Amino acid sequence: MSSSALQTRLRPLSSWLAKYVNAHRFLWLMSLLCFLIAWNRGIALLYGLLALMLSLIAISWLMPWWSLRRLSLSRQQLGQATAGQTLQLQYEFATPAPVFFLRICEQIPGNQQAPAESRCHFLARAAAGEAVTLSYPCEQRGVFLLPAPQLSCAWPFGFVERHVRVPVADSHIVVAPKTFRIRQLPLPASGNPVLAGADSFLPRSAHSDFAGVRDYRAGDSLKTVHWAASARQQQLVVREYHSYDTPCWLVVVDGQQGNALGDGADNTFEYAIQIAASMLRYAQRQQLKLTLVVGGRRPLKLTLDAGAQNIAEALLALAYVQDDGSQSYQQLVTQTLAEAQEPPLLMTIRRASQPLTLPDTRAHLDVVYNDDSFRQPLQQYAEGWRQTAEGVMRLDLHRLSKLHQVFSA
Amino acid sequence: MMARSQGLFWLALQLSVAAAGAAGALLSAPAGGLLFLVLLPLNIVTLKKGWDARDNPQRNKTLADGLAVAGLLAFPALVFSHGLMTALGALLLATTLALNVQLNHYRKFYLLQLVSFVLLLVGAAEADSGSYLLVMAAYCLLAAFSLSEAWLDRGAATADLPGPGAGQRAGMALLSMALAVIFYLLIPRLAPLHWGAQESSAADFYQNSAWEGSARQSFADPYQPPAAPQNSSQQQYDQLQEITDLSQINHDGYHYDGFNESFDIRNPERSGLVDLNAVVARMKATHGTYLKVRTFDTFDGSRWHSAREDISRKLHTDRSGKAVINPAAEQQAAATRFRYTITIEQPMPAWLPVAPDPVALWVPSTVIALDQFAQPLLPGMLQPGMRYTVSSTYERQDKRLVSHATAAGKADLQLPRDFDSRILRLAYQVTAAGKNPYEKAQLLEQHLRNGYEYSFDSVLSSQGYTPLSRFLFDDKQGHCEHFASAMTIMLRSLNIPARLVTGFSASSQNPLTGYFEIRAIDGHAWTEAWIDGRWVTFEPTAYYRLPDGQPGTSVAEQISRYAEDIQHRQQQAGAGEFSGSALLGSLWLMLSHGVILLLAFLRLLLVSLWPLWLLLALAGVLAWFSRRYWLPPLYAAISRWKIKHYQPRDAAAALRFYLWHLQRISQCRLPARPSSQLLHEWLLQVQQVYGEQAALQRLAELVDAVIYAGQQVDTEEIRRLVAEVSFSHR
Repeated sequence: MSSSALQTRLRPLSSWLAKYVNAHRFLWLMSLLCFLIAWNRGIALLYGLLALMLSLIAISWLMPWWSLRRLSLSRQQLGQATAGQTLQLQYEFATPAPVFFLRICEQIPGNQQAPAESRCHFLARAAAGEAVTLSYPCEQRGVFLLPAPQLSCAWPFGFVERHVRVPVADSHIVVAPKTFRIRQLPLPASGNPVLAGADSFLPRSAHSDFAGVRDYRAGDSLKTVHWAASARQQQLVVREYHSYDTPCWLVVVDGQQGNALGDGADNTFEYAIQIAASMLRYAQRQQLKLTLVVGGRRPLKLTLDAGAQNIAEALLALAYVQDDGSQSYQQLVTQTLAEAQEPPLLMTIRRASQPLTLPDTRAHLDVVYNDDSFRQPLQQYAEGWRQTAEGVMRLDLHRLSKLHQVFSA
Repeated sequence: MMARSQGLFWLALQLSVAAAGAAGALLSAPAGGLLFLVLLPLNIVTLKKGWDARDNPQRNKTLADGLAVAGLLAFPALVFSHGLMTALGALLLATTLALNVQLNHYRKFYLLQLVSFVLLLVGAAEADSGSYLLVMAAYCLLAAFSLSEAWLDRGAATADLPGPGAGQRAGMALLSMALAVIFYLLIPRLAPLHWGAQESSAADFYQNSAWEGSARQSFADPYQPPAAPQNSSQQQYDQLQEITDLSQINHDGYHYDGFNESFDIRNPERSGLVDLNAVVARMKATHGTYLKVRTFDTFDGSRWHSAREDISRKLHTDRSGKAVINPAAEQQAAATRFRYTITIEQPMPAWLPVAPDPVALWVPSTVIALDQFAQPLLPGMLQPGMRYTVSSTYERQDKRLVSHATAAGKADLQLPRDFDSRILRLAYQVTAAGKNPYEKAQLLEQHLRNGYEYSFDSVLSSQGYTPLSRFLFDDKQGHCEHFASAMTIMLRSLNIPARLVTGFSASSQNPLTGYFEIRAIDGHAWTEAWIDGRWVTFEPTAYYRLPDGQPGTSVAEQISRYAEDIQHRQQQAGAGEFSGSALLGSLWLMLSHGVILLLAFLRLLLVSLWPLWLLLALAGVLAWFSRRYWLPPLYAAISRWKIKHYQPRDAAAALRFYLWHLQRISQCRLPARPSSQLLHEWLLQVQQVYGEQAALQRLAELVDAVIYAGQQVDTEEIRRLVAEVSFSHR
């Protein structure tokens, strides 16, 4: 019999052993063996070995408890976290003596299914006053109150690991939504590449009024550089115009309670937040103006001016939104459109079963999630852009749609 | 896959120590030391090889298979040449090396730990010296290092992670050992079961075709004296010559005159060329006993011998080496018998030391003989390493061993030709109050134990007279042969049959190994008296106590007895003379006495006061579960007392002190203030529960002012504010 065949045959046995025999139980088994041999033969040294085994078990039980007995810690979020990336938590320990072989496990929301290695960190030594920064994957956007971390200690032999939950002061973490790169969007108004983010080829005077100059920022087109002013100021400055052919984007996200389909972080509301956050990044890169409205009990309305450099605060604000509002999506969109000073380029994100009747809009990107895909996700569903009316482009999505692919197509 | 290599050095040391310890126990200490020197580099090299190939252990598969096959081939060869345990040790050693070169995962690491532990177990099972404890201690220390290194390995990211320092790890190992000592002292020892035990063994199997030719399967009554043989004078001479040959040994072994066919009590030699403190045999038994070797019935005034030497009765042993001496007793319940195993450490005469009365024995021989007193002997000298097991009846009367061996005869009443009549008068005088032979024998025994001193010096010379008179009436001191001879002759003078028995007093149990150590100095003589149809053992030598037939229930008792025995031996071997061993012995005695006192106190606490401990435990459990009701008020009372007696010196320290204690007082109705909670937040909580606290509010402001703003505040004001704080319920 070959060794591989033997290994295959022995696999059930090794699986059974791995399941039921851990180091601690194994120690007890060895102690029992020692005792039986000592009892049978009456040899004092075997009783000594038994005493040694019992001592190892006792130390393995007592020392972790003793180490964790007076351990306390404080923690705080370090920097900004984004869903899909890592969250950094900084810990500071208070303990009369250093603690060895410490394991910290955090219950980051949306992270329950992650492997233990990513949810937990091992510290060979933790001493009072030492700050330790640890990273955890975080999958879910939002603002969360972290439960007390689970601390485990297996000092000194690693046979018995004792777990405790150390009470800590309330620790909130803020996780900004995940974003994906939108390379290109279809043109809801045909023949206007500017709507797709392209630079306008029209002479400035033909489509806009001069508004002023400002310092050059990375990404500004060289066409907009005001060379004379730059020469005078000894630094690049660009012209700014009141834009008429690059209207404001308006993204409206439904925040009505109960409208979202899906579970946990996989629901239409979270997808809509992701799309909205990605639109913020798109607008920043394309130097477009964008207004984002999210319904809810405390509706969020934020405006990103064209050429804005920093969207971190806007993304952070999206961490707080929740779908707990009472206003219907229809009402929200209608109200938002009515408040707009000029006709915007509208993006809505809704379910297919959620009818939306809009007044005449200049252009509308209608992102629609298939309801059935949340019940039976493995079936084939339509996906992609199509024009449904003049100036209206519809994007069909389903639960398993890869947003970064769809929006990059 | 393993990512850290730091633990491999400790693992190599650990494996080497376990294997060398086992070799030391199975073969000899020098062999163990030599093996350690060989194994350490070998383990390091093989572990290094395994580490280098950890991503592809198949590279070393041929080598691993070769090592495993070598172990498997060595196993059967060693089973026949050196015994099962040695063969098992070699197999485990080869397994260790094979696993070393395949070590790439912690499953194999823990398997190696298991193998090394089994090696340690083999060593512990075979070791007969307390020094094996050093091996166990070293193993424990190294295991603490290698196991903690293994736990540190959490993948490539932790490859260079510095772990706990050597001090912390060594501290844990020492703590484990200290706890192990306590467990060891408190673990009760159960009577051994001896299931599947190897009852006998020897390097050279004993055989004698002449004996086998005349051997029988059993004797109906082994205590019936053998009939006088109808041998020719040449045959009788040959038999006597054989007895002489079997009684005397080469000069390099243990020699005690009392084990010869005759001996002079004036100056018996007791050690031969071995040291008086040398261990000549070890006995594994539940309790101590007298081990008889020779019996003497005839005394000529200074020399004991037997009226008739006869070893003509021979017994076959079965395949397991078992010979049944007393078939009738063999049928009785096993619980009435005492079983023990003796390992010979120094060459000795062929007579097997056994406790009365041997029922069956397991010997590495095809045949045994019984002498005229039914004492078993082998067809050759007892050689070092020979092990045999005996099952004896172990009948006792008032703690005295009783023997049913060959009934008393005329010789057991024989008195020396020039018997001193003063001895008879003394015997009558001493036994005047005795109503029966047993009481008379007891009185004689007490008289000798109380009125005479034990001296190991050879103070007596015959001067043409029996040395007993001088011992009894002039010197009043002597060694055990004098005591035993005096009592035997005095009993005989009272017409009570008696005889002198030589053997060992096996009463010194090493508490570390559990073996009864029989030393050269333990060669001893005592008396048996024929009372009510059986031989009753008497111990007239004051310095010896009758071996306790009860097993020591704890190691603490064994330590106590062992310390006494050490003291005893030290005095016997020449107290007062300065020597290294005497100094070490004294130190050991001091240490052991300290341990004994401690253990005696522990035992008193644990055993005698157990109801109190039970009550305290119950009270402790109740107190633990009800601590939320009584602990905060207790803390509050302590804090109030401390506040009352506190003398502040500087404002900052005083504020810290007062606030800490005020928080403790507030915990009667509030949860403990977490370290992250601001003082003002805590104040809000306090005011919600205890009402407005203006003084406390002011104290909090002073904390900001003094501790954070560095302002100066009068400590008297702080004291006044603290006095105003009241945590009475709203």
